Amino acid sequence: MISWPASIAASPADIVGATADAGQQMAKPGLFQRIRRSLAYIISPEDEPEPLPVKRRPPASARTRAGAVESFDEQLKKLLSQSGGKSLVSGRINLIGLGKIKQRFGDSWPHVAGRADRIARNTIEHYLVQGDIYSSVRGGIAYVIVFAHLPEDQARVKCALIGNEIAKALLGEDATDMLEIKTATEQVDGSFKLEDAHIELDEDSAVEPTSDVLEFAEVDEAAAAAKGAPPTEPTVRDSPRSEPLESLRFLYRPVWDQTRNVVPAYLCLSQAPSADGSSLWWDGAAVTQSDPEKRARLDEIVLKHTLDDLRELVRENRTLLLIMPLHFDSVASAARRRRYAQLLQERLDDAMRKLLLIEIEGTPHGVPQPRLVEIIAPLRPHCRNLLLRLAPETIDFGNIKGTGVGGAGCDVAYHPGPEFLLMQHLNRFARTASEKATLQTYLLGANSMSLVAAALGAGFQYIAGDAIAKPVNHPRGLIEFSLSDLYSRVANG
Amino acid sequence: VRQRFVGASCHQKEKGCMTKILVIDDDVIVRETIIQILEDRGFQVVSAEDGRRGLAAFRSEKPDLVITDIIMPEKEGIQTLTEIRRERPDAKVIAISGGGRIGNTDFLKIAQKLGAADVIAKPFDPDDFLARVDRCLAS
Repeated sequence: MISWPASIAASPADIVGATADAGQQMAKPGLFQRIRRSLAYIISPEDEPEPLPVKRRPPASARTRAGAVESFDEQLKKLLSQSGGKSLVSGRINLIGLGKIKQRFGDSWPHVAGRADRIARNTIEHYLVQGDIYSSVRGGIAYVIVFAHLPEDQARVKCALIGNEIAKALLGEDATDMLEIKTATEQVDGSFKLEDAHIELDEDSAVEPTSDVLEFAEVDEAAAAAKGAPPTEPTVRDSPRSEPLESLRFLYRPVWDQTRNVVPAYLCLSQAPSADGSSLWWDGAAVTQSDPEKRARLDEIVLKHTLDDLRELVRENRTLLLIMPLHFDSVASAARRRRYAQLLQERLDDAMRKLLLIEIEGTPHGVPQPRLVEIIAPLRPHCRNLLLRLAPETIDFGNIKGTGVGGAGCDVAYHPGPEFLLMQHLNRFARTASEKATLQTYLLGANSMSLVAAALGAGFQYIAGDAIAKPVNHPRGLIEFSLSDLYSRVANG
Repeated sequence: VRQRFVGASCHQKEKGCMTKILVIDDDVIVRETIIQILEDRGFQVVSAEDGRRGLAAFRSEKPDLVITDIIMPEKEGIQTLTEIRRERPDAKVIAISGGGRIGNTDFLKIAQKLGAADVIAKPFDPDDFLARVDRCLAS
């Protein structure tokens, strides 16, 4: 027997119009009633909601990205009221069902049901942004997700990504066909019908780098902060300081090559003092909300500083690599790209070029290959190698292949969500990037030994983070460093 | 932390006292398999899904033997092993590792260096595994 979620079962009046109020609404049903009635029928056709028990069960909590606990119905009503009484945009209400997976597990389903629910919830929560809501239905083998703002095509991609991750986590394989993915579309008669929303996650279906995508990235971070994810290093968002770029301080993060047992590279970090006197990192994640021109100016300052230090290293005959970060948006426009390439040309000589790696941060998910080539081509001749910093959830590197990018990495310092899920992402990231796209892989933000071990196990070649070494004022040169060195620190407490 | 008791053919370290083994592994399939192997042999098994919970279980359950994976969330195995040995220098720990893309031997060598009574690479043979468990408990 499929059980109704408490949030739905507890509100049959909303569904069948049992009360006078609801009855009136039934005569001219509002959007909420139409949706709930449609969902009630479609979500579980064979399982009519039971009459209310004498003692009402407490409503199941719907979860929001911000972690507020409110009933799913209340949140759905709130979402609808925010749309100003207008009809919902198709694609906002979606269903992901695990019925086939349950069938595949057969008798052993009860043993994995808890884990499946945990994985599904964690994955969904990871992809939701502020305002989005979801609720488990059908006794925990399906989930209704309502996106607050997402257009239909992006909602489909997001649902596909969620489904893909759930399937991989549960079955260890790409098996989205084992999942029911549906989206509610409004019919002529005003009812809603759940239609199949499976899409293939390939380059064609990748989300274009629209302003919407960037907006979501911003909300995502704000939500993560609201959720209380403790960043190991503070971030600058929109700094209250009028011009923090003038007072930037630079540090270098040692990057360990675990395959050669050496620290061959240092990543340039810029740090801005905050109004209260503490230091704030000004990195890729932090400046998401800043305007591109401001970002470009920051990148130009970082370029000048890094290249000055690199020149010094070359003069001292020290052969180590410097990684210079660059924001995608800073070189997204042709004019800014030309300006940046011009600076590189003016300040680099051959010896320096051999020791410079450029790392592009903030590349939108699924940016088409021709666009990547357009951005990378003018930069590639000026460096030894070009790296792309991507989200740990990245599963498709097809668009990077053949663009001239030599490495892909991710920064997990601010990653929200449980570590076990992150470790699954890292395994997939390193395996796919190296095996399918023949890219070198690196991990930043490995601030705990468990993340270092996970990165090693996943096969990341380069690892950086507080667990390896804290940032230093100046690159020190090639340092030998092995797994034994790392664990001797652990042993010594 | 989950606790299981097996009644009939229990291993007795003393009269009326079953040998208790703590299994720490984040992979539910591996964890369940190890639990099954140990329970079939009559051990009392306590389990945890990561190093942090494993340490808590070690403190509360006072197991006779700890079997820990290396790559785990929250607190990985070698750190767990080190903290266990720091709290109870005579604690017996078997480290298991595998599935990762780097050589298991690197992790396992370090685990042994830091006090693991034995190390086992995944995948392992159940009979060999049990023999090593017996050897550790007897030592």
